[in-house]
Amino acid sequence: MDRFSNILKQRLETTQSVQAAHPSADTLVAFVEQGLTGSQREAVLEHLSVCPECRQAMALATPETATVNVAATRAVSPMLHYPAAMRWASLAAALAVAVGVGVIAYEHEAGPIQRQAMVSSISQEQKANVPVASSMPTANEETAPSNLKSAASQAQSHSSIAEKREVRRERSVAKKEMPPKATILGTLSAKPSQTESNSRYALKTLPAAPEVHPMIADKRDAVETAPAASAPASAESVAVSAENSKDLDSYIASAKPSTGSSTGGVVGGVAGTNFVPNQPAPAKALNTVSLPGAKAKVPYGVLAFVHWTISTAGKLQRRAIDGTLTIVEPVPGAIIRAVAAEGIEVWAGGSRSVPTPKNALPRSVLFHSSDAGETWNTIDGPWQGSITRVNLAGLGSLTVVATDGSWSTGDGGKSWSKP
Amino acid sequence: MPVVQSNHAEVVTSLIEGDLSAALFQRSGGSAYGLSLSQFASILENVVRRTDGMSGSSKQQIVAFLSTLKLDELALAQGCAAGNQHAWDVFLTKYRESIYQSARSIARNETTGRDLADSLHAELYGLGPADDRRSKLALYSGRGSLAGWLRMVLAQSYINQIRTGKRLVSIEEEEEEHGRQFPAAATEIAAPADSRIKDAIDEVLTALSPEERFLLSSYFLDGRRLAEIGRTLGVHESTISRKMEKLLSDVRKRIRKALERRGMSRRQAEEAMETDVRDLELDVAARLRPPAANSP
Repeated sequence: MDRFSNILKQRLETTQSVQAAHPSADTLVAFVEQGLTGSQREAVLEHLSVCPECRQAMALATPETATVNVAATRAVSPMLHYPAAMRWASLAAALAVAVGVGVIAYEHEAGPIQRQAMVSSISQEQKANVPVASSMPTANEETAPSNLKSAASQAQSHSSIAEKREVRRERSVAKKEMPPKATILGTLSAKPSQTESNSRYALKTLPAAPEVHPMIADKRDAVETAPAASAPASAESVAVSAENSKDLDSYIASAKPSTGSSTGGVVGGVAGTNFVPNQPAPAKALNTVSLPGAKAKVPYGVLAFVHWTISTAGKLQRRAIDGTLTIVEPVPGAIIRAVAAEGIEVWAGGSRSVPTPKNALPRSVLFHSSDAGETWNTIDGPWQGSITRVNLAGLGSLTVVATDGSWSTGDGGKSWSKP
Repeated sequence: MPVVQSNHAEVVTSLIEGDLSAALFQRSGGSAYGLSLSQFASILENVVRRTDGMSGSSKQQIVAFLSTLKLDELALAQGCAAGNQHAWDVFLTKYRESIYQSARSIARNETTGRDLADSLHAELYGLGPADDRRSKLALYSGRGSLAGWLRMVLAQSYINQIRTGKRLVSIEEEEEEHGRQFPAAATEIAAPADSRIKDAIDEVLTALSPEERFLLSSYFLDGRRLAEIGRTLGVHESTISRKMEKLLSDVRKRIRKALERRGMSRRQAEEAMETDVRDLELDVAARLRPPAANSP
């Protein structure tokens, strides 16, 4: 307390005195309860300012309800005593959370609508192409490029992140709806969050192809010169065929002359395309360009997976772009030791059966799939011992590293030679 | 003056004996407590006469005053004072527990509070012979709530009890009960060396309004918290805080001007109100001690 307050207190004390007459209890209660007129109130205050006893009595007789009210006010007031910025910050945070939830909910709600819009726009475009396809059934080589361009522009127009997400989700749904195959043992669904990372990984690791391999060029030529009988009859299949032609072009563009891997993971396929996986027609169109000697296959979703790995149990695994992990067996009970892939061409080295006490070292063979693992051919070669590594130099051109050394082929495994 | 008083009494009597008293009596429900209209009119007349500031009031003022009374509680209290059993039943049902709670709250002690409440019950019932029993409830005028009045009576009784008890307790008894007591070291108030300071402060304090003096007295002399003062005046403590801040600033300014009027320069006046160095909590000895002595 400063000197001023001390002096003030001292002088105030001199004004205090014991009064002979005090206001009645009635008057004091009326004062506390605001029941006095102005002059009466002034008179009571005049007395209270000099009478410590009445001030004490007033303080003691303050009703409990008033205390409760003040306490209730205090309970509220600390919130109001916060800085204004804090109050607004909490409000802003709540608003941001609400907006975020709303946006997420909207995206979830708008997903099917967007998909429907995409499908309808595609079908409209396909309908627009119907007269061309029906009137000129033999002009697939001309129709396909025009559809290819429209499909490419369609893909570009839907290049936003949300749409890509929708496409991935669509692929995931299509993958889940795939009918069980004899060669597919099981499907392990990865987390949805891995989808984007896998997609990015595939996009980043896809090598840019400076030149086109002769065999791929042959394939493309075969597609372009496909007979009218193999051309799809409906407008839908025409459009999808164009889509697949585009995918094939993308595949060709991404092909690298010498890629391959051994026991590690192998990245292949074409990512980031707007391909509808569960359509059988494009696979048929692709199968028309299979390697010589290979039988017609009906693959689906061949471009939806990009990564090949081998499990510790010797099982071949392919991880789709949407993160779906599938175990693939070229033949039942096959044990895989090495794999190499480039796009839809997959080569895997291993044995047909599990080693047994009688046959501790079963003969190694090479498995080949030209439809991304949907169907397999078994290729035997002159190597001895087990295959430890497969190096893919291009379509139909690969090197197998076995116990007795390296063996190379340039014709898809028909003839082998030691380099 | 006597003529005015006589006229006032006539006005009161005419009002009470007219239709007004009948309407007020009906509102009060006094018939349930055994009160008649004439008794109730007499009670109202006494209330008006006892009330400070009502002498010389006009007819309208008296009517307005009577309309503000808590008539139902007034009738209950007067019914109890008259010894009506039903009135006592209602009173005890309504206020018995609150009287004990208030007494405990005021005394801050269970035993003392119960004694305080019991003594109040006795006073409310009435002391003296049965034929001339005087209940304290007869003093209730209905200007405030009956509960507030009871609490105020309890507080006054408690203060009187303490004051009486202090007079009766000897120093030896005090020492036996609490040990030897020593007065607390009172804060030494620096007396103003210059009489002009005292005169200036007295002048300013005298010029303050009653409410401002009440605020200063409650804050500086009684040591009441702002919330307590606000509760007494029926305003929020933040209002009291603002008022106190403004009041102290004004008082300081007025005192400085009063000092300047008494011949002090502005600087001298400011110095006269500056902080006393004796109030500073500074351990000079420790500060002056050499560092080596401070280290362990």
